[in-house]
Amino acid sequence: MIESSVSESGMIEPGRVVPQALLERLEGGRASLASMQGDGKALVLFVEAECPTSRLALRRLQTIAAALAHGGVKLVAVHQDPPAVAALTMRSCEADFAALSEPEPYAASAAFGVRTVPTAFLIGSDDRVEAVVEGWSRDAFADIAAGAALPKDDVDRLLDPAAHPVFKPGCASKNTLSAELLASARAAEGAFDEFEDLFERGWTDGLPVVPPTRSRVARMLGDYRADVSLGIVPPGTGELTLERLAVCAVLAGCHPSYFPVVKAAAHAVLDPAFNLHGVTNTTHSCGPVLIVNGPVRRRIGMNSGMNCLGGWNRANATIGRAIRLMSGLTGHGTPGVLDRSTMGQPGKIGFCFAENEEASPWESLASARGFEPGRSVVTAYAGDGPLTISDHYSRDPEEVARTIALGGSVAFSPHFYPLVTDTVFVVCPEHVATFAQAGWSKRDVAERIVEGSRRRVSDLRTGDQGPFTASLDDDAELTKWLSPDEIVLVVAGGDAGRFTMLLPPWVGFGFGSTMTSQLIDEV
Amino acid sequence: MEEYISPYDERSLGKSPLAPRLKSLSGKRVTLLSIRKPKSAEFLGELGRILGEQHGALVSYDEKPTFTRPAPPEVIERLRAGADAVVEGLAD
Repeated sequence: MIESSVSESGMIEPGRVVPQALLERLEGGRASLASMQGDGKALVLFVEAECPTSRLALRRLQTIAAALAHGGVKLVAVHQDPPAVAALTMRSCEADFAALSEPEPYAASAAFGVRTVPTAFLIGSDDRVEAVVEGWSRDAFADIAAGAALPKDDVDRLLDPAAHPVFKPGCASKNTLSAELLASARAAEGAFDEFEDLFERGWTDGLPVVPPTRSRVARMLGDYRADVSLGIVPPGTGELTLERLAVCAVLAGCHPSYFPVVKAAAHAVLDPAFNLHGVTNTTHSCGPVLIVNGPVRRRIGMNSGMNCLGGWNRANATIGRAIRLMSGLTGHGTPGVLDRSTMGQPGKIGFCFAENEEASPWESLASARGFEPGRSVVTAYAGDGPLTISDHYSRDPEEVARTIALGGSVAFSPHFYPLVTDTVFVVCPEHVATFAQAGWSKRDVAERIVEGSRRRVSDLRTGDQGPFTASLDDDAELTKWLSPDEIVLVVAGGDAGRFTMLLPPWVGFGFGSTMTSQLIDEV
Repeated sequence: MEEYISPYDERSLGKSPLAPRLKSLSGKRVTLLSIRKPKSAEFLGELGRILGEQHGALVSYDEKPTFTRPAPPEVIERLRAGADAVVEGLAD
């Protein structure tokens, strides 16, 4: 929108006062060119996404943007494209200086008399044009940089005089196009793909994400206040507001009815005891595993039965993913940046399931952790990828427990004894039934698993070893766990099949992560 | 097109500048920080010997309580006050 125009006929020439222009900010809202300029000078660059010379100018001016700013000249790109296309253009040109979007009918470009893009106007603090550059001209921009008190050596280093091309003409400016040509330009914009755009932005774990529009985020938040802070998300320094958490939930594909679970899970992993910093940073493969108890499981359709750890249930798949996107995006825990995992594992895309309380004769995980029966609770555990422990042939509970113990003994590393940390086993309904028929409690099973892991120290002398083995005699014995209290049994899985799962823990000895639980709001 | 809301805290996106590089290690206080991984002492000890004997650095050693959590503020402050340069040994 133009508040006053100076000339519709020709280009604004040096010495003339520039027209005022109100343009769209890429992140929403509007801004005037004057407000972008501030008190100093501005170099305003009109560009367009489809124009290779515009892209060249954005890329190469980025190299002097900081130096120009230091010299009192603020670089501002004006894109003849919608904000999302403009943002994509800036990112793909690796340009991070100020940028605005100009809507049709490109009145600002018309008021400046732009004939081709890129065209740059150097505007003085008195709002008069000091220089105009049409197309890419290395020397013309070098003169502007020199005028901003940049030493010649620096100019030549940043804008290499030998770098091809030194001059390149631009493309027709959109304000000069006929209606037919503009329609054709719009069709090119129609090629813009919002899902590809989100990949370009990096707001993804590698799978498609749902665009976090303002209306979707509002629906995800429901009655929750957007600006409530849940604290800083380690390992980066991003503050988690409920709005940002809702953005992650939208990206992940959550239904709004899942948001209370996502919110409770965020609280659980941000509890300092959980140590999300280390869980994310570590070279180990662990990630947050979320286990849900209580009526919310049925209300939002979570899977606690067949294939409960294997995806294909929206709630299981997206709640875990929302928490991982939160740590990866808001917390900057991106692989290769602050996630340093050597291997990772598929559960790090997201890992969430519900306990099959209906198939369990035992108290639930939440009850075992002190919550009243009937409440909805999420528990966070730093777990590695699951290992299947098959025992289809034992009918004696002692034998089944022994099999589970041997399977569990490989956790972290086969010779690392003892772990000195909680370890989760997801026990299948058929194994649970064998224990229940014998009248065994969770404690009875846990004691057998600890005992079944007993080894002579002489068998533990190679590879990763616990710190105890060096000081013990060959004939001494160790168990993988110091106490049955460290064995955490969760019942889940389909009715048929005798497969219990080990979810190996991260590092122990109090350095790693402690399981944390949070009540889920009843809404 | 409807506007998107970012999952990022804009304040967390800034890049921290690197500390000025030392032109020489001679006579400079260099602290080697152990994160308490196994064999840190052997590795950092050898590195310290080389920095001292071959480059004239005044080497000291420090450590943080565990490799799994950030260094507490008192360790950071000790490093800031007592060293011209810090080498942090990460992982194994």
